[in-house]
Amino acid sequence: MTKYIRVMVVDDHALVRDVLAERLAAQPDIEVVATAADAGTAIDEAREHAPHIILMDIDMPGVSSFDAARTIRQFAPEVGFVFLSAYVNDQYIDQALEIEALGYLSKEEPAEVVIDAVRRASRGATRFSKSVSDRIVLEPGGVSLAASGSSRLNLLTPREREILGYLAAGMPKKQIATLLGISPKTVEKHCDHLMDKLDIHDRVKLARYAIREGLTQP
Amino acid sequence: MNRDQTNADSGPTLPLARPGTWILIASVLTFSLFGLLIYHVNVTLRVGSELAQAHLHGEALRDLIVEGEQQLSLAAAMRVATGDREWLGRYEGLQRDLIASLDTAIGTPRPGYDIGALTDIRDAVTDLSRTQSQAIQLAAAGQVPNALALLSDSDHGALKDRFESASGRFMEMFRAHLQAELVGHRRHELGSLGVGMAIVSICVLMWLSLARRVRKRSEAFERELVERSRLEAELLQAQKMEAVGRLASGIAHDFSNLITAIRGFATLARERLPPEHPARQSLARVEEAADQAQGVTRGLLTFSRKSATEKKPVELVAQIQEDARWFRRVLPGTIRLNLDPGSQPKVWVFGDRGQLQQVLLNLVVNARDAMPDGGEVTIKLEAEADPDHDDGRQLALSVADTGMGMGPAVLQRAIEPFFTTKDTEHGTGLGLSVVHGIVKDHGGMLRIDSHPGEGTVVTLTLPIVPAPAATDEVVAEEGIEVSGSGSVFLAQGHAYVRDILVTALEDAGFSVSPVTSCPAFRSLYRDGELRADLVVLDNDLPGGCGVDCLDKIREHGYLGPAIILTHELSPEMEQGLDAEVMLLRKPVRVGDLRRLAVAMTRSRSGGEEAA
Repeated sequence: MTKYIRVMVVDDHALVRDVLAERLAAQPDIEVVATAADAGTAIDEAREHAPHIILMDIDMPGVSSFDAARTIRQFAPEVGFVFLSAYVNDQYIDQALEIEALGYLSKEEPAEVVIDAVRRASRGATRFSKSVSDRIVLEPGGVSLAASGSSRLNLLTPREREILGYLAAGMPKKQIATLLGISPKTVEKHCDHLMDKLDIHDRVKLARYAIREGLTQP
Repeated sequence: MNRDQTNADSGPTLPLARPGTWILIASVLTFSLFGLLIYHVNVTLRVGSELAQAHLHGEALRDLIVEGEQQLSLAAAMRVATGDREWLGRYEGLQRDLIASLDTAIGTPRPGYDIGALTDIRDAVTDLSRTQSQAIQLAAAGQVPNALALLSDSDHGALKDRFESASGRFMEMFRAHLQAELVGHRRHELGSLGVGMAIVSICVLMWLSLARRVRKRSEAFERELVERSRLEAELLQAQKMEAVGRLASGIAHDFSNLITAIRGFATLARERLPPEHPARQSLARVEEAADQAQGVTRGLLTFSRKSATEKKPVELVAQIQEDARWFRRVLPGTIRLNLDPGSQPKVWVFGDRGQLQQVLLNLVVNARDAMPDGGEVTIKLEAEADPDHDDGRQLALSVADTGMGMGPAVLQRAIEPFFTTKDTEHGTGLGLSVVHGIVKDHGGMLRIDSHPGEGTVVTLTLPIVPAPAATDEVVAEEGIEVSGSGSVFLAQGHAYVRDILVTALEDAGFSVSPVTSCPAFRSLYRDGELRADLVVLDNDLPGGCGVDCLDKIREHGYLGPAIILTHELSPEMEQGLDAEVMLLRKPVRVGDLRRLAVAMTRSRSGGEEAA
């Protein structure tokens, strides 16, 4: 079988680098074309060996991995980056998203996940550790890192907020439907949606939440 | 034991008035005192001089009157007895001078002169002169015996008595006046003395007040210095802990890499061996051991990670159970660790997870050091009524040991910074001080019960907060896994975002069919390729609106749930949608979208199953 995914492994830790390279090389569809012990060397190696995917550790001494990635992008725009790190750090996630990395994996992930990430990356698909993807926010213009402290209340539509206020005030759903001039079934659906969005499925807790968020008076 | 109480007892720091105010008040009082003294001396001298002068005048007037009258009587008697005309001239001169002096004294009286007495004296002198003139005329007529008889008869004697009585009364009145003047002056002296005493009293009071304020201020300074020392020491300790944390983190990181290598090479070796090779099982055991070791390093990394203090709801039952294995690592084999999480399955407090870990670790280390020969450490959680709030609940978290305990003297100083009973190799004397600082910062209290030989129980109370209903971070940290099933149709224009969403939804267990635009989406549906359990549409898609797109596929018979991601959200848009559609306004967390996708498909499949 022809190995068509050309991968470069960059990690300052020789043992980790070797084991990753060997595990990847053991895959029938992956070829490890180069390895590098730091991001600076990785730039030269990338220029020389033209990998499709660069699997790169973030926590390395010397040139920053993200700077190296930007430099490599300049002469090889198609190359995909999958970052590895022992730490899930906001600053790292932000930089990885900025350069549209195809993966950000915690080093806690098993080797199979890394191999899968490389395969996905070769198709242009992404793979993020769950702890990373949970913190990514879809925005009108793309993606960014979650602003800390943002409330789930923002997920509610104006109508859902209004209904939450009435529910918290103890109004029966029928009365809410009459008040808003909509069918009780629609009110029911709005309630389901807002409960799903807030991940609160208990009416008392819902009321407490609404009071805390200032949607209704205690 | 309670630092708060100690501070509260000492009261607030008294502000010292500005030095200028004190100097001004002191100067005014000093000048007043000296002014009063000078005034008093002046008045005393003046009054003394006036009284002495008045006394001299009074005495001189009396002498003039008494001697004048005697001279007059002598001159009259000598004229009668000798018939010498010279005595007549003297008599007339004396009488004129005496009357003139009396008239002057009556006309311009000095203070204390009794005008009535003076007038009586003058009248008596006038009457005596008349009798003496008659006697002189009789003697001139040769009736010397009759003249002498006239000067010595009882009438003449009565006149003399009248004169002496009036003279005596005049002097008596005059002396009474001088006495009264003296008494008045004494009263004035007493008044001055009173004012002087008042000023001195004010000075003394001010002095005492100043001394009190200075003392209070000094005590406040002293407290501030102690507090500052404590904070600096805590900072030092925190920096030390930070350094230790970094060190542990670095070591864990290196170990993690090594374990990754061990695990990886073991897997490689296993995979390269034929299936029946006996070494495969051994290598599988190596992989298992490596996985366990990786778990340990992961925990160490979590434990040693130090970030800025961030308070949020923390579930302590789970945290303590999770941290217990780290506590066990600091305990020797001779010490047993017991956990008593109490009857509540979950207890939430508002705090910094790392700091609360540090509190427990410090207490466990203290417990260990109190039991050199082994024993038991019991960490106990108990919810109890909050004495400060009627309907409030608080958490009593205690760490009890079966060690040597503390006497009252040690107990009293236990939370003082730098106070330690350990040798310098083992203790900085900051453990409990840091614990106290953190507990105080979390709105809690620290209580230590200990008796020599009976062990020590350190209890900290923290206010219980309601379980957070929908705090994203907490849910994320809780690690509530969401998993769905079925197929999701995803229309998203932004390639990178699409990739991320595909991964996220696939990770949640969905099979995802992504497209880049609405026309592509519609054509797929028309071609009968879309058999989705959930549709996720971006309303800001190129080539058509997501809501329109949904309408189109609804027309073609898709009745399943849909999530529409949108930037702009109008009430009209919301009203026009059917009940199976959930609108999500951007920004939306990928984690939330995944969770809601699972919820939407679950509720539908649940509904269908129920149907």
